[in-house]
Amino acid sequence: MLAAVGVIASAVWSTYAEVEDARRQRRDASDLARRLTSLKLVTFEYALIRQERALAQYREISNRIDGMFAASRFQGPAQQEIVARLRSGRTLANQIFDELAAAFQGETPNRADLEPSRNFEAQLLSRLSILQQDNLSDVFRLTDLTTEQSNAAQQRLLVVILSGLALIALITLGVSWLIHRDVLVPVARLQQAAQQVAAGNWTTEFGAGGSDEIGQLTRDLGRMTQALRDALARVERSNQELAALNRELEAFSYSVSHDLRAPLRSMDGFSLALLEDYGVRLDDEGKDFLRRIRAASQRMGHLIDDMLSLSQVTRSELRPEPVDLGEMARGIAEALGQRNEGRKVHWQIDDRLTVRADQALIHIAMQNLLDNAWKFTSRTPEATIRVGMREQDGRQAYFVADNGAGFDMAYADKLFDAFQRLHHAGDFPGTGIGLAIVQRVLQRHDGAVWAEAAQGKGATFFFTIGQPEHEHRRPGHPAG
Amino acid sequence: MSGHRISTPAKRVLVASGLAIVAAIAIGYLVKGYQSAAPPAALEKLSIALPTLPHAALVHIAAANGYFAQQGLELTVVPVTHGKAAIEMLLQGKADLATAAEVPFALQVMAGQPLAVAASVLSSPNDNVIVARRDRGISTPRDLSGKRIGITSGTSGEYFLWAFFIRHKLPPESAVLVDLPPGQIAQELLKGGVDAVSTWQPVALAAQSALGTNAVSFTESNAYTELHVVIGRSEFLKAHPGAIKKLLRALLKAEEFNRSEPEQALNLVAGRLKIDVQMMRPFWRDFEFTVDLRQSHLITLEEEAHWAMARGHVAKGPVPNFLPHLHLDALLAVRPERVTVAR
Repeated sequence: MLAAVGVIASAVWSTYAEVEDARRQRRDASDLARRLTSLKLVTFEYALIRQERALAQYREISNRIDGMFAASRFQGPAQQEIVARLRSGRTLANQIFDELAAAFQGETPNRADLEPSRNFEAQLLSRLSILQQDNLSDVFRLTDLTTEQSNAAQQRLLVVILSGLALIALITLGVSWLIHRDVLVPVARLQQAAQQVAAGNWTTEFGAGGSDEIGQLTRDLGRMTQALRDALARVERSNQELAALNRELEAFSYSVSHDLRAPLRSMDGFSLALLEDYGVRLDDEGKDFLRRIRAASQRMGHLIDDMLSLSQVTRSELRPEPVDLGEMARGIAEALGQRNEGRKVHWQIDDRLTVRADQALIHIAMQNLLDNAWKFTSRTPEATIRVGMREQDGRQAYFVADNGAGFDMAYADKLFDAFQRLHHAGDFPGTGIGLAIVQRVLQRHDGAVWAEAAQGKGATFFFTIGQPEHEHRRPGHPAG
Repeated sequence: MSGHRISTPAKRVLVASGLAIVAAIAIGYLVKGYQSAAPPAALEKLSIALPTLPHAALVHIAAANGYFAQQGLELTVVPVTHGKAAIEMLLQGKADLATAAEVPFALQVMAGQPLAVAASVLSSPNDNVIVARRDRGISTPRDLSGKRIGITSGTSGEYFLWAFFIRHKLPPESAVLVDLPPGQIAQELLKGGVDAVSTWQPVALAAQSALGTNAVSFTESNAYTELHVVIGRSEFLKAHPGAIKKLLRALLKAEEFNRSEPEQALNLVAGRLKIDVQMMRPFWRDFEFTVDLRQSHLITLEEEAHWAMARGHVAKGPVPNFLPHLHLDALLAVRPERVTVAR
């Protein structure tokens, strides 16, 4: 492209130089025509009035014309021919004019010679007139030729410019066609294939591609897709194996939990029977042992219940529907109050906390969160539990906050693991599975849960539903 | 990223550009070829009385090279010895056109003939020559005074003698003019029937050759520039504009041929007129073959009108207006720049 532009530019420059040269020649020809016209005028004046002034003017103009011929820049064979004829004509005309001037300035001829002299002068004037007329015709022709030359050069310039533009347009079209064929089409094909892959169609083929960079990229992407296909197949196999193992494990857990209930009930039942039927025969230490057996078997029963609950949360089918969390929280709070009539807790539950979720599962999560709040405020004189929602980064984060025991944030990462407890069972009883259940419920709702707390200052549990994973550390404490 | 891969599209661009240029050139040639293919012209017929003289060389070249036929013109040539005779053929209706020097044309116009010049085809300042016998005491122009001088009456030869005398301040009536046909001029001079002759080429060269060392020749380029013109009846020229334009186009082509191939043109004309090339070469150089109509032609014709009245060829009276006798239309239509007549 650059080479073509260079060639066009030099052609334009060269043709422009021709145009300028032709214009200069035309100016020269016009000047010459003007001088020759002036010369004819002063010749006529001199023939008419025979004044020295006209003679001097003739000489001066004649010299100027000779000077112009000496500096002649006319080109072309036709122009050169005319210039040669003009020079010859000028020489002849000057010679005749000199003869005429000599005849005018000479002595008056005698009577016998009068008529020949008059005829001679008349002949000279006629010849001079013919020569000057022919010279003028020639110089006008010269003007025409230089004008034609100038016009032709201008036309050439136009043709060169138009040809150059056409050439650039052709090259641009050619380059565009090549770019379309070699770049855009392969890129579009790649894009289509990539979209197919992104849509999950892993069997999409990228093709062989050409010998250029895009062809290489196509082949690389093909290899990469193949590698991903292989990796996914391996992951799929692993997932299937894991799922099978999971199912087996869940079945095992369920059956173990279920099967353990019967001996536990027997242990508790028979311990109770021993206490009731043979309590009088046992001393205090024996009765204490039996009570411990009962307490341990009951705690194990709770553990099994929670494990079954966790299993149900994972296995049950999700049925989303609009759920009013405020109303749900008020129901749970009321039930908690009825079960522990001696406690006084200040509840602050916001309105308009409607979410789209599985009613049963979200109830389990709310129950666990509020049970925890209730439990960890049991030693707080003016217990306050708040349920609400706040906007964070354009997202709705629901929370359950209390001003209870709180916990050390250093252990926050263990909070949602099953059977993990941050407080002694003697201080706050529990199985350590509740928050694991909460997390599992919210994960099934494509949500997240996190906590902010400080030891002795309460804790706030935030959760989102159907929103991306949240950053789990937030400053501030809604309860406190 | 290798250089080889990058260079492939560049090569394709170059190939595509090259093909585009070749295609553009090919299309240009095709268009040019289409434009230059002239449509076939309708055939028109003309006859011309043509002197067997080199003065009408452009007509001879055009005829020999088939330029008339190319223009769609069938030109019949009626050969005559000299221009005056050609005009007579024209006036007798034996030809549509004639070529002649402007002198017999001017005389016919003054005699009231409705003739017009379609174009001048030649101008020459040295065509006419005075050839004199030394043994009659002639060595300078002044010696011609009072001598018997052979001329062909009413031709450029006679007018040149008049102009020559004026140029040398001699009274023209001091010479005794003897009217001779061109074919007898050299013979009469050799025989001594006249002391000198005033005539055109190649008759003058024949006279010089006949006299040998006894000959003395006088030319005078500042006295008279002879023209050779294509003449027709005014009405005929106006009535046949197409044919006249074709004729002029063919003559212009012959002019171009003579300019580009001067030696070939000389040989062609010499061969056609059966004149020795070496004999023609000296005066051929002074011939300027240009198809035109100039303002200065009017001055020449008016000068000749003065001469014609002074010589008694026509009755004395006002100099006629020759402008209507220059048929400008055809040449203006074909090559307007060749018409410099003020208008």
